[in-house]
This record gives sequence, structure tokens and C-alpha cells, in this order.
Amino acid sequence: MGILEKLQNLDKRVFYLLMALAIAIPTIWPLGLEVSITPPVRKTYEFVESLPAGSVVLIGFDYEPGDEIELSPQAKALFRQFAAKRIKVVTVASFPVGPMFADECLRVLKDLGYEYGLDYVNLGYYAGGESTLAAFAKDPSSIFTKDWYGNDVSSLPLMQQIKSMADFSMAMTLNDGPTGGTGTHEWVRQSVMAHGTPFVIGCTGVLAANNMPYLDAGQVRGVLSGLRAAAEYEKLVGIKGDATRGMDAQSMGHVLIVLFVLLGNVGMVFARRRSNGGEKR
Amino acid sequence: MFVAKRIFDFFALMVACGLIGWWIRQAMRGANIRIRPIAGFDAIDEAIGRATEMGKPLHFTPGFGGLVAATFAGLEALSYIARKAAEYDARLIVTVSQPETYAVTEQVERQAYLEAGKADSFRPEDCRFISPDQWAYASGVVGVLMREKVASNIMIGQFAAESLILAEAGNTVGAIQIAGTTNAYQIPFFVAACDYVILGDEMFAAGAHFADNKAHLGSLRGEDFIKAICIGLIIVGAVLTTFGSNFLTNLLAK
Amino acid sequence: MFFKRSVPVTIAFVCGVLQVLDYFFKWGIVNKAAQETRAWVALVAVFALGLGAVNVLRVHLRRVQQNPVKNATSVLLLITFLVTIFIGLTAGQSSKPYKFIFDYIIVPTGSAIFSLLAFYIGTAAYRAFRARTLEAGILLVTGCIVMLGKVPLGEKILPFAPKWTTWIMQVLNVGGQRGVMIAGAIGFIAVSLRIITGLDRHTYGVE
Repeated sequence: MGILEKLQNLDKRVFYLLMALAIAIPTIWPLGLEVSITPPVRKTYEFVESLPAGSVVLIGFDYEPGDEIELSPQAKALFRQFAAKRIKVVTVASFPVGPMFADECLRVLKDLGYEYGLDYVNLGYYAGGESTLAAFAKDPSSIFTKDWYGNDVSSLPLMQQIKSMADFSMAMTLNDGPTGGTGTHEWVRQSVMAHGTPFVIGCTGVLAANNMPYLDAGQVRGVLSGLRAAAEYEKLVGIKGDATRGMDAQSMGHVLIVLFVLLGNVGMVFARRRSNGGEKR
Repeated sequence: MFVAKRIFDFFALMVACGLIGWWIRQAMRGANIRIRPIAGFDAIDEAIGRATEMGKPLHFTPGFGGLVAATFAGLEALSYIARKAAEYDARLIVTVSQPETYAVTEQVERQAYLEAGKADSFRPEDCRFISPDQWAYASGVVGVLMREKVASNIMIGQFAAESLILAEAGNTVGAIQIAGTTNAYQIPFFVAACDYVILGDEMFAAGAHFADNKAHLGSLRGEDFIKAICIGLIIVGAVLTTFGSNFLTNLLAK
Repeated sequence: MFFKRSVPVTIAFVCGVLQVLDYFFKWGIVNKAAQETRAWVALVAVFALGLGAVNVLRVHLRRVQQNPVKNATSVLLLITFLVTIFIGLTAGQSSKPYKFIFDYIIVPTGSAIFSLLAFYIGTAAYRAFRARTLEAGILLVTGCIVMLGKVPLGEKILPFAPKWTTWIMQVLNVGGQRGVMIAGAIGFIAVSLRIITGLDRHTYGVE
């Protein structure tokens, strides 16, 4: 068997090793590649810019640890834009670990002078998925009586002005798909469809294809998908954060996969030619 | 009385339910409704047979979802698989992610063993709740596949990003793999790594395929009629919008 | 049979119809009843979680009883399970010890398992993406353009890739996705209808 035929059946471990190197090297020594801004991200940015100063937005932290690397940078970049406009933030979560991610991301706002209870609130986790979200959308106090830190929700000034989903100027989910929590479809049904609240999607890269129809149909105002969108948003708000650094590693990973797929096909073509030649002889 | 902008939705739902209900009634009265063969479902017997011949366990998981339609379709398949596994004395290991799904899954499996006349063969410890955390579930299932060296791996239900991790683990232990999900963006992963894939809403034919369930057959026919109406609306809408009319768009928004 | 089938079907029917009526109509008592039943879902989910926890304990205690040395991972699981519950109940979920478990155990392990996808997608794509037919060839070319169009380095290799990627995602992909979504939604209506009318016997675990 020649080298070219061998390309068809390379050992998995060779690929694993090369992939580990392709990701590790640019993480340690960044390449500093520039990202361009795609239309879905620009639409999101422009929509947030159009919100009046002092608006209140609702963010669902509907993801788990594995997806933190893609979704937390989206939240942090968005929060910087919110801070510039003094937009107030309420967070909820459909996974038990969600409030902890919210807590970590909300530190961006705290560091920029936001005050808890007045400018931002972390309500915590709700069980029961879409049904509970629907109940929350009609009457938040029916689901949350205490916030994540144990404070009475009724005592928080920000929550006193929220009587239903319609009181939010924007709702958003940062979600990793239909993985047990409330994902895009559930949020769209319970926010924009049920209460007319403008909606924005933040999702992992793999969900981009699934969420685009909502943007094209005009049901949502923007879509942020994956680390790439977070990197673009960081560029728009003028910072170089985790997402910008992560794009170098992602670049190398994508190129390596494409390279391997092409090599496999080259091997297949040569093997096929050789076997055809053999048959002729 | 009506909530604003939901009048059309209400009547659309009524028409859909009416069509499905009418065809269920027709099917129960003996209307001749047939479904095309679905390779993934047909391969399930082969997967059970392989596990029996090799004396190795068979693994099934309804995925990561809660009690949603895709999970119920998976449980329909499980009912058949558990009955056949009981008949052939093949060991069936079921892994579940969501707690509410676990309760229903165990009941479905227990009932299938009872129907096969082998209630005593059901081992509750082989119906395993893993974790509602996505990656804990994924690693738990990979652990089961690797430790138990399963001969066949069947994954039908709601799957997200863990799909490929499970499928590659099954591939590594050399199991015959059958997968099905309605999550369009996970289907490519299954196609790449599994032997048979049940595509999208083909899953909802599980009850009709395995049990010749009249209600299921009727509802499938009803669904086909609704799809035909939707296709008609899409074509008419595209033509009207192209010629500058917003009639259909406005009607749908009523 | 009455308690195994008739009662659950009646409850399912009433709860299901209530949600539908609540979505479409402004009827005070119906809206209130629907809101109340939705709040019950959270309660049921929490009880089910308890049931799941009992199963985890049962499975792993049995494994430890059989052979604690061979099943050392089960011992580890039981210890971490009990420690996490103890800290969560006594110190609270926003406490420092709980946050330590979250930051230094749950997040890194979760991220590590997710990151396996980078390796697995590569080998799966390498095995499956072979241009054996015209359709497979189109899939291969499209996949490569989208992969390159999504990253800055890909833009350098194929400058047109981002523009083509946007077109592929927003035109070709959206058309297909809408078809799958519509078909799936119709299927969901049918399954829901069968469940609330008791025609889906497996939902209730009875013949």
C-alpha cells in the first residue's frame, strides 16, 4: 500500500495529536488574527444601541460548563455595551449551574459601577423548563420569591418595576440547545410570541444553522453564534477578551480538519485509480 | 376574548387537530394506511440479534431531552426493543439523563418485560439515571459503552452536542449503531458516525412501525395532509409576496 | 386500571387543554388555572430529580457491594455525590466551598468533555466526508467552505469564504431547516394530541 492510499486510513491518534498541538500552540502564542463583522452580529449590536438608556433586559443563562467557553464571552462583551448605555439586567437560568455563570459574568457590570438590586439582579435557577418560563413571563413573582443570594425579590427596587415579560425592553437566551433547559424555541414562544418582547439569541456555534430561520423571518433582532460571534462583539465594543484569543486556536483546528478531509479524499482518488488500472490490466 | 395576533394560530391548530383526529378515527375504523420501510427501524432487529449472538449487552438511550415529543418517540422504540430483548434473553442497558424521563423510561421498560412474559428478567439497575448535566451524562454513557463492551448501541430521542461523543464511543467499541433525532443540526454527526440514521420526523413513525398502532398510522396520515397544506401556503405566499401582495402575511399575523 | 390509566389521562387532558386555552384566550379563571398548573411542573420536576438521585445511589451502592476495588469509580462517585449534597444543603449554593467545587471540578471536567468534540468531529469527518458520489462531493465542498468561512485564518486562505458561508447558512441552510422545523412541529402537535387523549399508551406505561 502506497503513502497516498494510506492517507485513507490514518490512525486516529495521529489526528488527535495534531489537533491538540493545533489548539495548544496558538493558545499559548496567539497569532492575533483579525475577525470581520458578520451581519447577524452587527444586527444584534445595532439593536442594543437602539434601546433607550436605562432600559431593563432579561438574560437567560441556559447553558452548562461545557459551553461556557463559547457563551460567557458573548455575555461579557454584551454587558460592556449595556454598561455604556446604563441598561439594567435581570438574569434567570434553566440549569442549576446557570446562576453561577450569571454571577461571574455580572461581575463585569459590578466592576463598571453597577449596584446590585438597583441596576442588576440574578434571580437564579428555575426547574420545569418552558412551562415555568411561561409562568415567569406572566408573573415573575409567582416563580421567584428569593433571588440567587437569598434576598426577597419584592425588596429589590429593580424587580418592583417588572410585572411581566412585557416590561423588558429585550429578552435574550444564551443557550446550548435542547439539552434539558429552555432553548431558543421555548424562549421565542414565551417572549416575542407571547408578550411581544424583542428577542435576541446567543447560542453555541453548532446551533447557528438551527437559529438562522428566526432571524430571516424577523422574529428575532439578532443572533450571536459561537466563539466567533463573541470575538466579533469584543471587536465592536473595543476589547480583546477570551473570544478574540480563542479564535486563533479555532482557526487552526478548522484548517486542520479541512486538511485531513482533503487528504482522505486524495487518498481515495489514488486508490480508486490504482484499482481501476489493475482491473484494466 | 382572543389574545391579540393569535386568531389565525388558533384556527390553524384546530384544523391540524381536526385532520389528525379525523384520520385517527378513519384508521381505527379500518382504513388501509401503510408507511414506507424505514431502514433504521428495520435494523433494530439486527442489532438485538447481534447482541444476543455475541452474548454482549445492548444499549439504548432516549437522549438528553426531558419529556418532549422526540423522547416519547424514542420510548416507543424502547418498548419494542425491551420486549424483543426480553424474548431473546439479551441484556438491555438503558441510560437516561433527565429525572422526569427516567421515571417514565423505567415504567415503559418494566411494562415491556411484563408483556413479553418475563417480568422477573427486568433488572432495575440496568435502567440507569446518569445525570441531568449534559457532559456528566455524556461521560456516564461513554463509560457504560466502554465498560460493558456493548454489541449494539441504539440512540433514539432528543440529542444535542453530546451526540457525536456517544456515537464515536460506540464506534470505538465496534458496536452496530442506530441513531435518530429531530435535531437537524445533530443529524450530520450521526450520519458520520453511525450505521443507520432515522432522519428527523421519521422518528414519529416508531409506534406505527413497531406496533402497527392504528392511532399512530392515522396521525401520520393526518400529518401528511397538514404538510401538504403548509407546502401550498408557502408556494402561494412566495408568489403573492413576489407580486407585491401582503395578503397572506397579514392573514398569518392576525 | 382506573388509577393507572383513566386518572392520568384525565389529568393530562385537563392540563394540556388548559395550556392551549390560556395561550389563545383571555379568560380570567382559565388563565389563572393554567398559571397554577405550570407552577406545579417545577414541583414535579424536583420530585423526579429525587427519584433519579435514589437510582444513582442504588446502582452504585450495588456496584460497590459487589467489588469495591474493581468499582473504585463508583466509590468516588458516591463520595463526591454526598459531599456536594452536604455542602449545598448546609453552606448553600452561593457559598465559597460550593463555588470551589463548581469552579475547579464541574467547569473544568465539563469543558474537557465538550472539548473532545474537536477531536471526534475531525475523525468522524475524515471517515465520512468522501466524495464517492456527486451529492457527497457537493457536501464536501460546502462543508469545507463553511469551516473556512467561520474562522479568520480561513478568510486568509479563501477570501470569498465568509461571504459564501453567510449565503450558504442564510439561504440553503435556512430553506432546509425550515422544512425540518415545520415537519417537526406538526409531529409535535400529533404526539401531544395523542398524549392528552390517552392514545399514546406508552406515555402512561400501560397497555
